[in-house]
Amino acid sequence: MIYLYAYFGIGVFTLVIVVAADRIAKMQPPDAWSALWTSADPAPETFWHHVFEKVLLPVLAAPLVIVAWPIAVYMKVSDLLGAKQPFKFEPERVFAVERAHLQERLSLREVEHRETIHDPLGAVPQLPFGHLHAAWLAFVEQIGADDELWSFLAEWKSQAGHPELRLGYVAVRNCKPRQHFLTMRKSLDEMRPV
Amino acid sequence: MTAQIAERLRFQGQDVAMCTEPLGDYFEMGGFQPNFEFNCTALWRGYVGNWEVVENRLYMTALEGVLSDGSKATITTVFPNFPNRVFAHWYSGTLRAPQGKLLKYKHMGYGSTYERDLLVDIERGVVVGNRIRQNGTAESDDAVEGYGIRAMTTFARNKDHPEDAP
Repeated sequence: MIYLYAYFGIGVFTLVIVVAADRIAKMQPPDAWSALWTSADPAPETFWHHVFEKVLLPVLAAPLVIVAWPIAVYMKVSDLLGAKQPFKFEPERVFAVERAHLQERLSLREVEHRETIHDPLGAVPQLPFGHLHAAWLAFVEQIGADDELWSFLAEWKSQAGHPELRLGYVAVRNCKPRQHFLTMRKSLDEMRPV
Repeated sequence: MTAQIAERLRFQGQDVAMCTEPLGDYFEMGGFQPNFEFNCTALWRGYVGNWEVVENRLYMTALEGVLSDGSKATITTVFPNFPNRVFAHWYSGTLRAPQGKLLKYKHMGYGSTYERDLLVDIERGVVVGNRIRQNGTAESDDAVEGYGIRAMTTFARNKDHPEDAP
């Protein structure tokens, strides 16, 4: 029985602390956000609104705090700990080819022969990579004289968690993949059977 | 994000609204991307493309948009030497064309759900298959038929100070 008294005693003590903290907080000048929120509050300042907020709510909340004070303490401690850890902004993941993605070493001539697009309606330039030929030339300019050219295949998950299949070519220098050129970027989200 | 105006696709003789943007992949893969003007919350990409499947190949046949300098964008803005059609060899993925009655409207991107989705699987611009995905049946006969958007905000171009335009 004494433990029950002790439990409720701590509950009353917690209630006193909560009320005191609330009174102290209300004595502080409001920050810009609180002032904005208060001014936008559509609830009219009626008599019954005051009765509810100043009388009814505290009367109902007080027994709750006395009975469930461990929850209140846990929430406050979590809040304090959370305040000390500022929000960490995670930088967006950028796709990069890794050694495990490498498929086949090819020469520039082999790649360009392989990737020359043909269309029966003539709706594409007869050049390596068709409509992306200019982008391919820009990629080739970055390839060093000693770099190797490899094809790659990679499964990638975007920042939003959508799985993709990515294929293309990558320049490899000293066994390290460097800049790449995409030839296929295929979302795997829709590839579900009916 | 507001629900988006769809692309247009002609497939097996039918014109459908297409909730996929193959040209977006072209830009992501290094293709030339003009500076489209954003003047409508339902068209964040700044253009609407017309597409067609001919002999199992995906082609872009038209493009409508406005550039940041106020001039009109057409297919030749992106593909100068191909005014009639462009083979979409860069695209691999699944084209989605919602069909039937509206089941659930979502005012965000292409998030609304319709009774069926026509899915056309494409690899490097070539159709490799197509299927229908059943999503359910509308409860009411009065439900809206076909893809559409409910609201958007447009922004007028500032003719006096075009440099201030969004």
